[in-house]
Amino acid sequence: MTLLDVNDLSIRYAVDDGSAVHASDGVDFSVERGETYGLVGESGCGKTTLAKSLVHLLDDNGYIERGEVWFDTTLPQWADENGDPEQSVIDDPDKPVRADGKTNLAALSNKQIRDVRWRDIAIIPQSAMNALNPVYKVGDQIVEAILRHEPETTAEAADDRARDLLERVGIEPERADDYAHQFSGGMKQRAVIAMAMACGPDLLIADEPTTALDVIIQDRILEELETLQEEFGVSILVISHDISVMAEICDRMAVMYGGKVMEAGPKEEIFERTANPYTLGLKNSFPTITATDQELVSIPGTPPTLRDPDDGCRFRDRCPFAVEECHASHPPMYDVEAAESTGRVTETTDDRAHRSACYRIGELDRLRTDAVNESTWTDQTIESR
Amino acid sequence: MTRISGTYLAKRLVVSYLTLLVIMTLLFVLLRSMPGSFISSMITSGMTAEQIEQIRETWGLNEPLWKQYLDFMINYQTGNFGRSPTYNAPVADLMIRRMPRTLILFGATFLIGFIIGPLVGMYLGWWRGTKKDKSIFSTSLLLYSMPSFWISWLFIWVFNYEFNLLPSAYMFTQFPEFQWTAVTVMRDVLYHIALPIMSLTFIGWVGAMLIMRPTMNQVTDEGYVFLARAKGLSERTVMIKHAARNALIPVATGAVVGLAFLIDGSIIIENVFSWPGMGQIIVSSVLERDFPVAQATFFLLAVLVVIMRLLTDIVYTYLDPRIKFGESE
Amino acid sequence: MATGQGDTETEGESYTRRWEPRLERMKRGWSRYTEHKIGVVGLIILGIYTLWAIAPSVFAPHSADWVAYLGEPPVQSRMSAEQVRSLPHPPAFGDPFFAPLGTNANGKGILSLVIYSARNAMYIGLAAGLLSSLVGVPLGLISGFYGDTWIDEAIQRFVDIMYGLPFLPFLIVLVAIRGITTTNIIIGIAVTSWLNNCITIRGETLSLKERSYVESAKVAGASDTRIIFRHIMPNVLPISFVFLAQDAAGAVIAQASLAYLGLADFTANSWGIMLENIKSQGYIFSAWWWLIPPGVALMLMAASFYFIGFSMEDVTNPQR
Repeated sequence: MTLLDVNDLSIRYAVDDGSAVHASDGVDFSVERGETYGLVGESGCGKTTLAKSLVHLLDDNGYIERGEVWFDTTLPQWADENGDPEQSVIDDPDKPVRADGKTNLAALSNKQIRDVRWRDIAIIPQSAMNALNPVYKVGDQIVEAILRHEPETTAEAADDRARDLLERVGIEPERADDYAHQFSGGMKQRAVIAMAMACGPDLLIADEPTTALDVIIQDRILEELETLQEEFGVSILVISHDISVMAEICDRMAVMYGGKVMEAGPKEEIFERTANPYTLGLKNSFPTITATDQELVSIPGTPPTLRDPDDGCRFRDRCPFAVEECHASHPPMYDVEAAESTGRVTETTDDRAHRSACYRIGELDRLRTDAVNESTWTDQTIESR
Repeated sequence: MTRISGTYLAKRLVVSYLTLLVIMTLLFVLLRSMPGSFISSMITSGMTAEQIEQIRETWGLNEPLWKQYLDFMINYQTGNFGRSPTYNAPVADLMIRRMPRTLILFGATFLIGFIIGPLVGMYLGWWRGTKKDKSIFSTSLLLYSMPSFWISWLFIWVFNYEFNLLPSAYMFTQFPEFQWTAVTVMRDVLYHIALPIMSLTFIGWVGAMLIMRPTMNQVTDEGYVFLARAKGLSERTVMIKHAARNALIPVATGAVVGLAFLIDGSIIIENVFSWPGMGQIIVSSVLERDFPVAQATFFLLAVLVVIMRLLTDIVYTYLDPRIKFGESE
Repeated sequence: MATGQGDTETEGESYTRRWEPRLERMKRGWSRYTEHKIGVVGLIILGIYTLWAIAPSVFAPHSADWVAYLGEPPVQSRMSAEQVRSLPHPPAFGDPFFAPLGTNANGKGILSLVIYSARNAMYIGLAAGLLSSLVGVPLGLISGFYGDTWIDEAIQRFVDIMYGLPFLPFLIVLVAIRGITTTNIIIGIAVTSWLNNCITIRGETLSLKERSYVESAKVAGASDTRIIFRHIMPNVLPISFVFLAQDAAGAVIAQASLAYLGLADFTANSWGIMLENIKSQGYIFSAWWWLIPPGVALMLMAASFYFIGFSMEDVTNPQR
C-alpha cells in the first residue's frame, strides 16, 4: 500500500534580486509502506530540500511552487475513532483529504503540519550530531516529543518509553539522564534515531545518516535502521550522496540532478540496468567492493546553480551524450523496461516502474559501453552555454 | 548544583580577594596622586603653622606614605574604614546608611533591564532582518545613545514639572502629612524611586539586548532548533525553550559588562534625583579629596562587581551543563 | 619555495597580486554594508557632523561669539535691562534678531553653539575610540596569541582588575589627577574603555591561531611578530573598527556625563557643557529650545557611531 505519493512537486527559494532557485522541479515518486526509498545525488541537487518540504521545514525563503504530497494520515481533528478521515472532511472541498484516506501535506497550514511532524513523519537531520539540545537531558528531549503528540501520556510513562527506546538502539537506559556532550558521536546519532521512533512514525526521513561517521559506525547505523524497520514496519526515506549506502539499504530509489529526478525505480534495476548518463557517471565515481581494480572517474564540471534555469536538460552541459534535443527541453520520464525489451520509447507516469529522463533511452547499450571508458567523460569539450 | 566543587569556589574566593587587594592598592596610589588634599578646606587664613600641623597630625597625613598605605590595607581587613573629614563621621556608618539605598535603585534597574533586554533581544534575534527588527533595533540604539542625565531631565519635565505625577528628588517625602509606618515608608520609597528607575532602565536594558540579539540569531541555525521544529513543537516553544535557553548563556557573561554600565548610570541618576546613595558621595568625595570616603565607596563598588562575577559564574554553570567548574575548562 | 617565486616577480605585479583580492573583498564588504539602512544613515549623519566640524562658519547663522541684540563682536554697546530679562530667548526669526533655536541665558545662539560644538565631540569620539583601540587591539592580540601562557594570564588578570573599577568614578579620578583638559578627558576615557576591545580581540585571535594558514606559517618558520602582524592582525582589524565606532559613541556620552558632573574644559564649545549650563543656570524646564538641541545632537552623534559599528559588525561576521 502506498504511504507517500509525491506528484509534480516543485520547490523554489526566493532570492533577493527577484529570481528564484528551482531546488526541485516537477518531482514524482512514491514510497510504499515498509519499504526503504533512497534519494541520491550530488550535494545541491535538491534532495534534502525535497525531503524537508514534505513537512514544511524549508528555510524562510523556500516555498512549494506547485505539486501535491499525498500521505496516508489524518489530522487528529479530522479523524473518526478509527483514525480514518470523517466523510464530511473528505467531502469538504476546502480540506485536502482524498477518499482513500490520504491527506495532501502540501496544502496544510503551518499549524496543521505540526501535528504531522514526528507523529507521522520523523526526520533524522543531516547534522544529527548537533541535533541534540546541549542544555537538556537526552531523555527529556525524547519525552518532550512524546508528550507533544500524546498529551494524555503521563510524564512517568513517557520517561519509561524514552528509556526503552534508548535501550532498543543500544544505549543504556540510565544514560537518559545524561547531556548530549557526554555522548559519543555514534551515540548521539543513535539517540536521535531513538527519538525519531518515539511517536511511532510511518515514515522516517534519514538525511545523510552516515556522513561524518567512521566506517564501522556507519555500518552499525545502517543496521540499526534496518532493524527498526523490521521491528516497527516504518518506511524509510534515505537521502545520501553516497550511492554505496543506497546499494546497501534501499528497496527503490531515485537519482536526482539539478532538482529533477533523472532515473528512478527498483534498486537492482538501477544498478544493473542503469539507463541514464548521470547515473552511469555517478556509478563510475564510487568504488564498488566487487571490482577491485576499478578506476574511479568523476564527472567533469560542476552542478548547475538552478537560479532561474532554462528549459534544457539540466545535465546536458556535463553530459558526453548530449544531442540537439537536450538543449531544447528537459526530457520526460521514459519507461526503461519498454525501451529495452521492445526498443520503443514511451513516456511513463507509473511511479513504480524503472524510468529514466534521457532522450537517448533507445540507445542504452551504447551509452552503457561508452560510459565505462574514462575518455568518454574526460575528452568531451564542455560546452559553455 | 553539584557541578561547582568546593575547591573551585575556594580558589575563586582567593582570587577575588587578591583582585580586591590589587584594586585597593591601585586606588590608594591614584587617589594620593590627585593634587590637593582635603585639609585645604579646613585651613583658614588665620591659622598658625602649629594649628595646621595639628590638623595634619590628626588626619594622619604626617605619616610616611608607606605607613599610610599599610594602615589603610590593614584597617580595611578589620572593617575599619576610618573617619570622613568632610562628614566628620565614621565612614562605615556613612556606608551602612547609603549602601542599601544604592542597592535598591541598582538592584531594581538591573533586574528590570536584564528581563526586558534579553526578551527584546530574543524577539529581534529570532526575527532578525525583518522590518520589525530593524526599526526596534535602531530605536533602541538611539535610546542607548542618550546621556542618562538628559533623559532624566526629560522624564522629570513630563512626569513632574508638567503633570506632577511623580516626585523628582529625594528618597522620602520631606515634610510628610502622614505617619511613618512600614507600609507608608514602602509606599513613599516606591513613589520616589519610580522616576529614577524609569530613567535608568529606559536606556539600561539595551545593553543586555545587544548581547542577546546576535547570539539568538546564531542559535536559530543550530541543528537542535531544526529538530525541535521537526518534532512538531510550536514556534513559541522552539523559540523560548530551545533557542532562547541556549542564547541566554553568553548573556550571563555579559551581565558583568552590563553591571559596569549600570553603575555609571546610577551614579549620574543619583546625582540628578538627589538620591542619597553612594553614587552621590563618590563624586563629591573625589572632588573634595575626602580620601576615606572615596576609598570606601570605590572599594564597596569593586566588591559588588567581584560578587556579581562570582554569581554570574554560578548562573553560567547552571545555564550550561557543558561547563564544569573545578575541572579545567 | 615561495620566496623564490617572489624574487622573479616585478614590484608592480606582486603589488597588484596582493591588493587585488583585498580590494575585491572591500568592494563586497561595502555592498554588504550598504544593505543596512542604519549604516548608511549613520554615515550620512556623521558626514554632516564632519562638515560642521570642518567649517562651522558655513553652516551656523552666527559665529560662536555672537550675542543676541548686540550681534557679532567687537561689541560696543550693552544690553538694556529688559533685553537681559528676555534671555534665554525662544526661537526668533528676525524680530528682534535671528536665532532659529533661540538663545541661552548669555544671549548666545543655540543653533550656532550646537554647530560649533560638533568639532569637540568628533575629536573626543574619534580620538578616544582610536586610543582605546590602540591599547585594546595589541593587548588582545598578544593575549590571544600567547593564550594559556603567563603573558595571557597576566593580561587577563589585569583586565579583571580594571573591570572591578567602576568606569565613571575612575574616570573622574584620572581626570582630576591630570587636570581637566580635553586631552586628559580623552586619555581618561581611553584608559577605561579598552577592556571589551581586548577581550573580544583575544577570543578572535585564539580561534584564528588554530587556522591552518597560521599553522603553516609557523611550520614555514615565520616569527611570532610576523605571524601576529601579517597573518592574524589583518583578520581582526575589521572587528576592531567595530569597537572603534562603539568606543567613540561611548566616549561622546562619557564626555557629556563628565561635563554634567562639572568635569569639563569650560573654555571649549561642547554639547555637554551646554547641558551643564542649563542645569547650573536653572533653565531646564523653562527653555526647551536650549534643553533639546544639544541632547539630540549628542544622541545622534553617538547613535551614528553605533549605527556604523553595528552595520560593520554584520559585514565582518563571516556567517550568513
